[in-house]
Amino acid sequence: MAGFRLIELAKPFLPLLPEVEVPYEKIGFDDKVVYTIIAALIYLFGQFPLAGVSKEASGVLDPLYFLRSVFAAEPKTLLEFGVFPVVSSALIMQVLAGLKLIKVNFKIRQDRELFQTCTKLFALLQYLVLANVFIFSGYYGTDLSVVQITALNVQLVVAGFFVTLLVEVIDKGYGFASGAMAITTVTISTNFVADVFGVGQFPVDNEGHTEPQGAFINLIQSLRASHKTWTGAIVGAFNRDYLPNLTTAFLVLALAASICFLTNFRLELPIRSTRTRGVNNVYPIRLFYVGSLSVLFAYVILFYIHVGAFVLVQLIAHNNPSSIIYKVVGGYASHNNLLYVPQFPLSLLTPPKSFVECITRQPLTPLFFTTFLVITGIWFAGLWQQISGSSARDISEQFKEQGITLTGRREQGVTKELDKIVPVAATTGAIVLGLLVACGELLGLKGKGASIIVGVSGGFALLELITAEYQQSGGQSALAQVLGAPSGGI
Amino acid sequence: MSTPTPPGGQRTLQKRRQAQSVKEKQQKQTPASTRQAGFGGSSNSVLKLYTDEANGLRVDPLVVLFLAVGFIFSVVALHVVAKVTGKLF
Repeated sequence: MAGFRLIELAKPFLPLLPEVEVPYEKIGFDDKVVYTIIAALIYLFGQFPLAGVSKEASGVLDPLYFLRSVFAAEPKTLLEFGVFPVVSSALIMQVLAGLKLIKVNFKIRQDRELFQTCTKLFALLQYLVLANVFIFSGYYGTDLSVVQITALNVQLVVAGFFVTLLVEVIDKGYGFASGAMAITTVTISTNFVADVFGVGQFPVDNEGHTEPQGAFINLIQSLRASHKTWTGAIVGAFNRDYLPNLTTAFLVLALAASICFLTNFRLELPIRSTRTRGVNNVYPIRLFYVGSLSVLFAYVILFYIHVGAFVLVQLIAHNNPSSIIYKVVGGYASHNNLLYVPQFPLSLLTPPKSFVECITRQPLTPLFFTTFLVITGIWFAGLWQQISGSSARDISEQFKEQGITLTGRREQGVTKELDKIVPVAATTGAIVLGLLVACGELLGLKGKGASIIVGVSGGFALLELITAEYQQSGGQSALAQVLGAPSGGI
Repeated sequence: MSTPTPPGGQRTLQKRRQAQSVKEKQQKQTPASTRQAGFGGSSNSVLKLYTDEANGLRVDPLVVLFLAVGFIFSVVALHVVAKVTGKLF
């Protein structure tokens, strides 16, 4: 056999999997806005509790709490796994294809189709596997009936299927740029607002007192509450660890601000036209060349490690401290009856719950976790800038087509010059992002730090494309006229 | 100073052969991603997954959106039914 190819596996499924049609004509700016917002809204509606979860609290708690917000996942809802299977399958398949471990010839149309179908199948398969891992671990309750298991399976997998399709609707050109990134950005920002200004009340003690979800609302409510002193209220607002507090809100804001600041760092290469004399411009190469993707990739790997550990410890060893697996991998300790906190050695790859705990109980975690983030980031950024079609060679080819060259270089020398800059920018950006994520997470943000970084830098990547689009076709936009924005393209 | 080598001869042939082989090598090198091949897809900082039209079951985007809403409502209905009858699960 001349060689078996993995993507051939998708062939039998090709006619079965639904495909969103590619738009016949170009979708207008307003329509894109509407499609993107509606798709994201439907995704947000998916944060609906699962039916069929048993009422009694089971001993198995959420082991992935610190990874969820990055992938816009909500525990015990239809979006139990969020966009993780979609993002991970895309990243992993693309990396494998880039390393030539999967043989795909992207020049052939049929290969591209098969590759895409394969990616989609892999995503659906992950939804199915993850759903069953969680069901049989007892996460939704022990002793589930067959009806419950089927119902949970159907809900989780069909929800995953619709998430894939929603992402596809945006990706196919009905919405802006990337579905997965638009959806995560919207969810992350929604969650942040809910964490600061959310008014939903939660019972906090046995006397029937409730506290709101939002940290800021909580401060005001506590100041007015009769059962608390002023100092107690303020300290509580900054300190509570069962619901979002003001300290995390400020830390997240600080991280978001620093990302906003760092996104603007770029190297501006002077370019000139080879056809006309005296036409000069600059070509920016930004520090975050691969954007948030390096962080996303590191979190995909983390997710796999933790799900693998969950399978070993919970499914096989039943979180029993005397089993060998528990001793080798590390088990889970429950916290507040809400979270499953991994123990040593698994805790090395788990961000601590608070900074104090990090110093006193997990002194090795900062070192290990940071190194992990930085190294995966470097590796991924180095590879991704090469394979994603924006490498030095690809850029210089674009230059040649458009009749541009770097000032002071011949056309042949452009690749060499860019090769000195692009990989360095990509890896340095990945290191900076990795360090920032580590900083946030080690201070005890429980995934909120990583998610705000992914959200803000992903948002900037999208914003860039959206503004470019607006300048091209925003002139006819009724939305822009209603909002009184200056018409683009002037 | 030695005289420059006259044009033509063995060397030119060799150079031509070399250029030819380099060209062939570049053509053989397959691109690593859809964007590198020039057909859209994920770029350096944006993850764009499903951009090619495959010969599958074609569906309209509006149908997808409506079905997704319908699915969520069916889960709502499942909750209601389970609550009312009290014995579904």
